[in-house]
Amino acid sequence: MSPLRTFGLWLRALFDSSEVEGEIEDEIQLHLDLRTRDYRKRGYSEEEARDLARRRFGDKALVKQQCRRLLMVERTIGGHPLMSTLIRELRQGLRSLAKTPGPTGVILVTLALGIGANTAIFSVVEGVLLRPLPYSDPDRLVSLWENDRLRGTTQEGFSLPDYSDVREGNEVFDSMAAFTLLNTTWTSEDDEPRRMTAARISASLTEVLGVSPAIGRSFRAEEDAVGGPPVVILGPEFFRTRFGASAEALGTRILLDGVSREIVGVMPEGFDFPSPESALYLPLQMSGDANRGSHGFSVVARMKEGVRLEEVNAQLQALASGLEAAYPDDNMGRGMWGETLYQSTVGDTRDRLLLLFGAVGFVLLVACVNVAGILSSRALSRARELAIQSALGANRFTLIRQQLVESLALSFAGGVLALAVSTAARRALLALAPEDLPRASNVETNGTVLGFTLALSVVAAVVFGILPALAGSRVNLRASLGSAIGVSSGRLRRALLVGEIALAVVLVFGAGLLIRSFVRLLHVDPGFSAANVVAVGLDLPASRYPQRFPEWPRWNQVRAFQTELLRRLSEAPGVDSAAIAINTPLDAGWTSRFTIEGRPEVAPGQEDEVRVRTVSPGYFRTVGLPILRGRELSDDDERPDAPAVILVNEAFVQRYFKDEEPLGARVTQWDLTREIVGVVKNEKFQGLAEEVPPAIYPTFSQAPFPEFFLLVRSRERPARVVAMIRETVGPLDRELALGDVATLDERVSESVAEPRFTMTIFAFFAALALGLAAVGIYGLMSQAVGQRTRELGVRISLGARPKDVLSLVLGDGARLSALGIAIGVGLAVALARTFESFLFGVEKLDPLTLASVVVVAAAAGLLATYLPARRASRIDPIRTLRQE
Amino acid sequence: MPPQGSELLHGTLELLVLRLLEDEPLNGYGLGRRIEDLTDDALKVDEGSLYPALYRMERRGFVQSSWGTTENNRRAKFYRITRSGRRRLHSQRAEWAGFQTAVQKILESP
Repeated sequence: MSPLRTFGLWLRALFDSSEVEGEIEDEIQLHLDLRTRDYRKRGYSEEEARDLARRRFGDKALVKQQCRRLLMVERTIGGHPLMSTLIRELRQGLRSLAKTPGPTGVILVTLALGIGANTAIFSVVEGVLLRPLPYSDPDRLVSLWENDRLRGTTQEGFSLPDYSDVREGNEVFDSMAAFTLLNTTWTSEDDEPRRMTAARISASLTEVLGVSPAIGRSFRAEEDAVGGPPVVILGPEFFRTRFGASAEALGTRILLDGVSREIVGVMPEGFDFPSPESALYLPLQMSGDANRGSHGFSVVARMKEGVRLEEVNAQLQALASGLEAAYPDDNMGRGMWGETLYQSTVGDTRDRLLLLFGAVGFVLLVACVNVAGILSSRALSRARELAIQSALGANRFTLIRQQLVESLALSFAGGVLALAVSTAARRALLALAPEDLPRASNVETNGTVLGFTLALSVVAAVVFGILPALAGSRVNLRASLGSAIGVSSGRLRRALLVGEIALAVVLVFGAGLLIRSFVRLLHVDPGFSAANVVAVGLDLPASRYPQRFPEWPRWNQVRAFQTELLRRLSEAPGVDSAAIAINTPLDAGWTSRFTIEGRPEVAPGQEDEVRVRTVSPGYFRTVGLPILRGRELSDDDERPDAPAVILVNEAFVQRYFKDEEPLGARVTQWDLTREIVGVVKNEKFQGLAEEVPPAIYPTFSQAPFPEFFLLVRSRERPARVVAMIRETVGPLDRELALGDVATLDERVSESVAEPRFTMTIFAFFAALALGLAAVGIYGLMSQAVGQRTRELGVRISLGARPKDVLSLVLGDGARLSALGIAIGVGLAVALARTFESFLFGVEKLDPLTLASVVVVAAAAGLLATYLPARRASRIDPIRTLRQE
Repeated sequence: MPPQGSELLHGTLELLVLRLLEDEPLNGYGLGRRIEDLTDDALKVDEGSLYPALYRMERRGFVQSSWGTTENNRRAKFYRITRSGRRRLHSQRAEWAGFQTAVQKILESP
C-alpha cells in the first residue's frame, strides 16, 4: 500500500469507523444469510433457519468487535498494537478537545501564530542563507578584494593589471574572472529608451561559475579583447520580458548606448550574477595594462580542488607584496584578500536574519508556555478522570503518552494553520525587506520549509506537552477524588507564569534597543534637506557625446547638453532650483588622491584620498547645503577661461586646515590644481550612521562627466516633476532614458531600510510575545482564582472586604510578575551583546530602555492579573459554600 | 438440530484455511462449507473464530481480501492466499505431519 493511501485509511479509521464497521457487518450478514438458506434447504422454516444460523454463529457483537480491532490495526501501520492504542487515545483526545472549543481555539491560534511566524522567518533564512548558491560546486568560489593600509580602506575592487598579475601568478585557482557593473541605455524602435544595468564580464566568468548559457554561447576569449566585436548576452528576465523568450532573438542585434550589438547567448533562468539588476552582459574588452590605480573591478575565482581559503589568502598576500615592490607608485600599502562568494553575497544580512530567527524562536517559546498553561489547567479539570484511570491500572507512562498524543494532534493542527499564517507573514516580510535583500527571489515555501514546520510542530508539542503531562500523571487518587488541589500544579503554574514574562521581557528589551537606535538614526542631521527634491539618473552615451580622454576636460557636447538642460529646467514653472551632480546625497561615490600645495612632499602612491563630488553651481541651493565660509560656485566659474576652483566640506577643513586658513589654498587632484573658494556644511556620504569623510566639490565644467544625476527642487508633486523632466529632456535627446528616479526622501528612507526592517520585525515579535504572555498570565491567574474560589469565599464570609481579596490576588500576580521581570532582565543583560552590532547611538545596556521594559512588562502583568483579581473580589460566599 | 461434528483442534484452522485457499479464492462462508463438505461434516468450524482468524491472517500477510460477487450476485469478501501464505502453509504442513507422527507413536506404543 502506498504511504499516502495508508495515511488516508488511517485518517479515515481515525475519524470515521463507520466504513470499517459496514464492511464487517456486510461480511457477517452474508454468512448468516447463506447459512439460513442452507437450513431452509434442509426443510426448516424461515424463522427456524434464521435462528439456527444465528445460534451457530455465536456472539455476533463479540466477533465484530474482534474483527474491527484487527481490521483497524491492519489498516494502520503494519498492525503494531501500540498504534491502535495510540489511535484510540488520539480519538479520545480529539473528542475531549472538541468538548472545550474555547481553550482549544486559543491553543490553535497561539500555535498558528508561533509556528507561523517561525516558518515565515525560516523560509527567508532558507532561501537567503541556507540554500547553496546556484553554481556548480559553489563552495570553491571566492570573491577577491584589495585593501589599502595607507588610507585605511578594507574592501576595494581590483585594478585590471593587478587582476591579470594574480591570474598569471597564482597556484590556487582553477580560473578567475573580473566584472564590473555599468548603466546602459537600450533603444528600441517601438518603446521608450530604457536605462538598465549591465555587467561587463571577462570571457572566463561562465567557466568560473560553472554555468553555461541556456541558449547560444558564452563569450569567446578572442572576443574579450580591446576592440573586440560588439556582442551581448541577455539575462533571463530581459530575454523573457523583452523577447518573449523566443530563441529567434539569437543572432539579432540590439542598440545599447548607440552601439548595435549581436545577441550571442541567453543566460539560464534564475541566473542573477552578480546582482538581480544585471539585465545583460557585455564582454569586458579591456586590456591588462589599463590604469593600475583604478580599482573598479570585482573579481571572482574558483579554487582548485582541495585548496582552502587560508591558502588562498596566504598566496594573495605573497602576490600583493610582490606587486607592492614592483609598482610602488600604485600599489604601496595595497593588500589582497579573499572570502567565499557565499559570504560576499549574503554579507551582513546573515546576522540580521539570524537575530530575527532567534527572536522568533522566543516567540514560539512564549507560545509553548502559554499552551502548556492551558493544557495544565485542562489536566487539572480532568484530574478526577485521570485519577480513576490510574486507579484502574493505567500506569504513569500511559497517562503521559495519552496527553502527549493529544499535544501532537494540537500541534499538527496548529502547524497546518501556521502554513496559512506564514504565507501571509512571508509576503509582509518581503514587502518590508530592503530592496537589496540578497537572493530574495529564492524565498518560497518548499519541501525544506514544510519539513521545518513539521519538525517544529513535533518539538513544540513535546515542549508544551511534557510539563502538563508530567503534572497530570502525578495526580493523586485520594487527593483529587477528595477534590483537593495538587501542590505540584500550583508550582507548575507559577513557573509557567514567571517563564512567560521573562521570555517576553528579553524580546521587549531587544525591541526597545532597536527602536531607540532607529529613532536616533532618523534624528541624525544628514546635512542636506531632502524634502521636495527629485533625483533622476542620466547617462550620455559616448556614441553621441564624444568622451575622448585626451580632450578632457573639453568635452563640449557633454557640457552643452548639461548646460542647456539646466537652463531650460531653471526656467520651467514650479522649479525652485535645479542642479546636476555626479552622485546624489547619501550615495558615497568615489575617492581620489590629492595633494595640497605647499605641504611637505609625499612619496607617490602615498597621498591621501578624498571624496570627490562634482556638481553644477546650483547643487548647494538645490539640496539645501549651507555655505559656511567663502562663496558658492557660480555660473562665472563655468566659463572655459575661468580660474579653477573648488569648495570643500567642514570635515576636510577639520582634517587638513585645523589651524590654517582654507580659503585661497590650492588643491591638486586629477592633475588639476584648484583654489578653495568656499566651505560647505558636512553632508552625509555613506549613510546616516557613518562619519562624514573629507570631501571636495569641483564643478562639471572643470571636471565633466557623462553619467550624472539631475536634482530638481520643486513644490510640485514628485510625479509632476518627473513628467516635467521627461518633457524637458525629450526635445534635447529623444534617445535618452531616465534612470533611478526617486525623491531624496525616498533615498534617505532606503538608506535606513535595513535597520528599519530589523527593527520593525523585531518589534512586532516583541509585541506578539508580550501579548501572548499577557493572555497566558490572564489564563493562569484565572485558573488560580478558580481553584481558590472556596478559600476566597470563606475569607469573604469571615469579613474580608472585596478590596482585600483584590489586593491579595493582585499581590500574588505582582510577586510572580516581578520575579519574571527580574529573571527576564537578567537574561536580557546576558544576551545584550547579541544586539551590539545592530545599535546606533545607544548603549547595549541602555538604562532608559531597561527601565521602560520593566514598566511595560509590569503594566502588562498587572493588567492581565487585574481582571481575574476583580472577579475574585466579587465572589459570592454563600453560593460558593453552598456548592460544596 | 444440525449435525454435531468434532471441534477443530486449536491451531489447525489456519492450516485448513490456507490449504483450501491454495486451490481457489473463497469467501468466509464458502471456506466453512468446504471444510464441512470435505469431511462430510465430521469437522465443524467454529464460525465465531473463523472471521477473527481470517482478519488476523490478513494482518499477518498470509491472505489478501478483495470484494467480489458470489454466484448469486451478492457482494462478498473473497480471500486469496499470498506468497507468504504459501510458505506458511508449507511449514504448517510439516509441523502437522510431525505432530501426527508423534501422536501416532504414543497411540501405537505397546
